[in-house]
Amino acid sequence: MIRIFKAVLAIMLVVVFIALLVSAYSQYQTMLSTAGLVDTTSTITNDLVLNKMAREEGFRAQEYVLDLDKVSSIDFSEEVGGDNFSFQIKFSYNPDSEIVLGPYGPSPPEGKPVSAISVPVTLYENGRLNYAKMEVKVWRV
Amino acid sequence: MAGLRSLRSSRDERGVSDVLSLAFMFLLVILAGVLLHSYRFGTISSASDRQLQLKTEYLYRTLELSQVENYSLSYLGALAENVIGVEQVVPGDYLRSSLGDVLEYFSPQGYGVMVELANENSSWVQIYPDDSEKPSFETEKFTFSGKVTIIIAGADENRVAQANASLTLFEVGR
Repeated sequence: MIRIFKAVLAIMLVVVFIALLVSAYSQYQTMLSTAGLVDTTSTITNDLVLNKMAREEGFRAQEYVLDLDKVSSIDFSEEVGGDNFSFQIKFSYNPDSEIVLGPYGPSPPEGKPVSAISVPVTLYENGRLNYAKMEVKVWRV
Repeated sequence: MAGLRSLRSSRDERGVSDVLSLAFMFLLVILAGVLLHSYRFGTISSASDRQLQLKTEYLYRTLELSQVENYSLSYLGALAENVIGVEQVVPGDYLRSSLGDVLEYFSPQGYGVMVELANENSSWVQIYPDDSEKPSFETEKFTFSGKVTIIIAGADENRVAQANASLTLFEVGR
């Protein structure tokens, strides 16, 4: 009787250990993938603010100052670290009566992880530099 | 008969000790499971910390570049004029109120913002929310600092003055 009990316990021990390993590995992969998505959101945001949407003054790009006219020339998909990502951007400014511009780009898919960040930026409009919020949503394609 | 009984009893004891060792191994497996699941658990929080540092830098740049409403001077430029003590384009009270609105608009939920500008003996410190105190050493915070340079027009020649600026994003309500 005890021999059977010991055999059952030993099999359960092996099964539990394998289940734990599989679960820990899948959790590790999910964490890595989420952290990668969060970091990619920062990378894409930086690329937009420092290059793609930066206002040009003469031949020089004015970093951190965004030119809204450049939105139309943006490709809303980007390859980062060998993976393909899509993104959507939206601007809002004037806190008293908030004005929202966008969203620009494709809509995020349902049921897929989407990372979003909202950062302060400076918009160039009619010769003035106004503060605004830029929201960037990124997901894997 | 007695020999058979003692043999059975020693077998039973060995069986019980085997079960105990198996139970101990179960305990070890559970501990290993906990350790495996907590391995690199900080990866996501590190990534969100990097985002908060990015937000801090962007807020600093926004204050450095965007103009005070109804004026053509940037927020940090106007603050530097106030701190350095030259003829002020933006009145101090208006600047404090306007800057307060900007900090309120941009501060992430659960975080406060502190702007500090200093030049020799004078300084400007503004914190949002207004009832917050300077973040303590233990508070989780993200800082970005730089220098603001203004040119002061003189009768004979122009003079350059600098103020040290820093912006801190800190956790509130803890």
